[in-house]
Amino acid sequence: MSRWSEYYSNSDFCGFWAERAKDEGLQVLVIFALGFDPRSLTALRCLAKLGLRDRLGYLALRLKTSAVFAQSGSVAEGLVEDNVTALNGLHVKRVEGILDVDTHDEEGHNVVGRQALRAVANGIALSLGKYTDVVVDISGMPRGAFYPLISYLIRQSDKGKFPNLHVAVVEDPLLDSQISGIEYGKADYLQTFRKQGTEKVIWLPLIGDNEVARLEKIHNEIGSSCIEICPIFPFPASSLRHADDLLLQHAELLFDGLLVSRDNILLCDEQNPFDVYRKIIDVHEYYQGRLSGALALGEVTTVVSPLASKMLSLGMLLAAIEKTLPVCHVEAGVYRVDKQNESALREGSSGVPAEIWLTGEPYVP
Amino acid sequence: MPRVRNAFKIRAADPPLIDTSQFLQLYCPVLLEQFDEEKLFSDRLLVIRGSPGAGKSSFLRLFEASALVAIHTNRDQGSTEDLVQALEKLRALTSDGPKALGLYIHCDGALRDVAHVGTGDKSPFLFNALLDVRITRLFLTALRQLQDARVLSLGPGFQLSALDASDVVPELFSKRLTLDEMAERCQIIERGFSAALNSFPDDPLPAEIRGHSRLHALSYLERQVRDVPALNNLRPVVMLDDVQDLYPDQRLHLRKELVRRSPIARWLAVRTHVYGLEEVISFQAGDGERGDSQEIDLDGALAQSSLFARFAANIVDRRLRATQFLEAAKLTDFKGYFQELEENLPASSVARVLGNMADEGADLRAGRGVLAKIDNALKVVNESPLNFAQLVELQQMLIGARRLSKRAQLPLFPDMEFPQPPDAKTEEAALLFVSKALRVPYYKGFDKFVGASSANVHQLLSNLAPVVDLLVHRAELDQALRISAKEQDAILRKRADDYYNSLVSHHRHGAAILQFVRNLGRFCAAVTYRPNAPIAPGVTGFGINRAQLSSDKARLDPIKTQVLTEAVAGNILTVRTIRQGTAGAENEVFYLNRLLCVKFDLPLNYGGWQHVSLSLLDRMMEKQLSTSEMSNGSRSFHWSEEGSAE
Repeated sequence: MSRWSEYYSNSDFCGFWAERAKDEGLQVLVIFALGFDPRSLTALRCLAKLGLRDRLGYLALRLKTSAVFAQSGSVAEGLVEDNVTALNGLHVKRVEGILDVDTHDEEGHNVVGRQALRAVANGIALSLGKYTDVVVDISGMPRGAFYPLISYLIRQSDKGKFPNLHVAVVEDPLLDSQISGIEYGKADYLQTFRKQGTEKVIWLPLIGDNEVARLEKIHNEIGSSCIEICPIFPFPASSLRHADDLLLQHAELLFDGLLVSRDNILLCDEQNPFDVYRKIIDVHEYYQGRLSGALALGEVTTVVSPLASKMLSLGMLLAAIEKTLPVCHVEAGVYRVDKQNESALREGSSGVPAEIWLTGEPYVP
Repeated sequence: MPRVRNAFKIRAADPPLIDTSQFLQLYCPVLLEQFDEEKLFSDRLLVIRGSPGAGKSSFLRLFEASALVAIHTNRDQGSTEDLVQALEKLRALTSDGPKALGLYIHCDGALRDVAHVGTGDKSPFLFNALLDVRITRLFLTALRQLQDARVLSLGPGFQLSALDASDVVPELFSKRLTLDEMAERCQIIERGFSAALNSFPDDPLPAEIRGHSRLHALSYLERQVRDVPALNNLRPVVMLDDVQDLYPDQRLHLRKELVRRSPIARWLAVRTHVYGLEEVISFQAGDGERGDSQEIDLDGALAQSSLFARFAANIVDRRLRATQFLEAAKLTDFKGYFQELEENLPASSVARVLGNMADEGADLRAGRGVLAKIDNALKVVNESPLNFAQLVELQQMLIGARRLSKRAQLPLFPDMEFPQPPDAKTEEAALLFVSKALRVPYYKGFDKFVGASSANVHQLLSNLAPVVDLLVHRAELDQALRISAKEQDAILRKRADDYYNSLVSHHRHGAAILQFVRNLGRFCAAVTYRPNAPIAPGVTGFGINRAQLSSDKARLDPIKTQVLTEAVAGNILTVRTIRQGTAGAENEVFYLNRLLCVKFDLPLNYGGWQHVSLSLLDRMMEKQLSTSEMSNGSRSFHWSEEGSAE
């Protein structure tokens, strides 16, 4: 039986914590990325209102991007400042740290995962034991950062460093459409999710809007060892046409360029990370059983690529952690917010954070 | 042979995503014919340079044992005949089976990230250890593939020879081992590396990985082919691809390890860069080890127009054979599907263009005879409008008259002065001017599609894929197989728009690159469309004097150097070294990708370029400049004959 075959999630993060905060023994640490995303502070803002006072602490990872010239990210820089001001206004006393995390090194390689891990491991590894609950708010955090981070924290929790690990995420497709990732570098495996050897690959990319370029880049990285591609589309989704739209956007690349069989398409519930988690595990086990050692292919593994919403990406992460699956990804070098969208972003997100409880009380037999 | 709806769209050019027979059918051997055995299998290091899509990886992967075995076993198929011949000429393949044993190593993030495993001072040692184990494991896999194909027999109990035991020889190579034993040891070490690379900050280093001070795998391979009789005839080749993705000190270290002469061939494939990385990777100049390495420039080889035309023809022919509905079409049929421009032009359009010409020539100080011709044509435009060719001829005369007028000394009888005799370049410029003025297709014909590919295989296929889509669609509907000039032009312009719009997202420093390209494109167009067409048919690049580049290098902001490097590495700019001007003076000329020429209505010929100062270059990356600002910062125009690039 898989680890999260039974799970706890709640679409109302604030409601869930209002109830939970009644426990006087609770000590909560929020880890979040302090970037331009207006959702960066959602979880902390919600918890700060619950009267936890000195039972609430935070660790902020201040993301440093590599825009060459100011115009690449000037609007985004203004939004970062807004978030910093808002953070100061929350008056949370217990600050574990505000740590700088470079997203890329001088050569342009994505290092956000390594830097985030190092920051957390060096910054608060010893303090983790003081908390009963750690909440990672992934709403404003790049996948390259929260994948290794959550993986690390699950292990720390499993080791007994702290009991409960939660994830908070705000999905806001309207807001997402006003932010565009640009200056994509080369595809690579995420920190702590590297491919282990020379196995042949079953590739499961999670397809989001306008991802042709990133799919091509990832395919270039794994191409010569890839023997099967099973693209994952969100269905059911908030818009029932979304999967169709995505299929049309990516049809030429998937079916003509990469010769994907139409039978290989997977559909997963957009709102439930545990659906995609379960399906990836099923597909992985299916191919392991059928192909490993067969047809002189040698070993076979499943590589996943999270190119869609944070919620689905979280489900993919859980499968990757459980089955030690490599994660191949391309992170944006810079995020661009057009001037005309600036005011909309300054108004913040209308999305409601969701709670996903990954380790601790619900899983104690 | 399996066929697909449009084989021009297949991105997966490597096995195993497409089946081997399809891969062999799609692989074009024209490039192979450019190289000789001596160069490929010399004891000197071979550096293979090229832009993305130039075919570096496909070239390397062709020499892998699996590909050569597949070619050998399918050698009776007609479609592999030329491939077999080319490989036999290189003695990579013989009638007995593969002789070359390409060991393909992708310099991936794992190899790079070894730098972060353990303490910093251990990292070069671990890099050696990981490279050693990868090379050895690939060698074993290749031997097994030859055995499975029954072209190599190693007999039961076969053992690999050991290196002479010493303190510095890693344990892996210090004992005689069977293939299975060696494979098992390699696997254990590789697992150790995987664990280390996927470890968290507080994890200990796995016990099974141990670094060593130098690379030993080459000596080990040398020992095998020398001491093991069954392996005497094999030629292992260590092939490292995408070396530019390693860290600078890893590249330097690799250079030191591989530049030593060895009977084991070593090929390094790197992306083309301007400088910076080039200085690190260059084994040719100024490193005191001149002569210990050699270089193949794939871009340079393909830039020879005749070679790329052959290459393109071969690729198109192969892809057509793999495409449903078009499998019977020959290349000549395919070229015939590209329709010419329709002759009849609306009188109103002709009148408008003639009117513009008359206005433009009003201030001519010489060659005014052309104005009378324009006037006459205008008088009869409704009854017998000029056709396209006649308009081009008139435009050519107007350009000639404008050039005469710009001479410092005015002629005594301006109306009787004859312009310079027409030439092909001026004719092309006139064609460009008239096409733009009439808003009729300029980018049409098979050759323009090849020209717009910047001598890049992927770009060629992407340019032609929509054409093939239309043809397949028409074939399905039983319609005539032809593409009108208007459709051709629209297809290339859409491709150009897509390419241009993708710059910012596809490339590191994309925003700065886009800014630079936007300025450069406008600048080239402004010069190209000057009435006297100073560098006919047009300017499509800029040049920097090499001496200036080295002396001023420190003055170009390092970040902007990165922008330029990224643009070259990403094939947005193509660099050619051109000797021109004072004796021995070399210029680095950066030409726009040909799709960007389409974007800015420029001709597709190489040749015309303009000197720019480094300070102008600097500003062009920062902000939008007016064309006059750019003209002030630029110097002389130049024309270099196509093919003269070195």
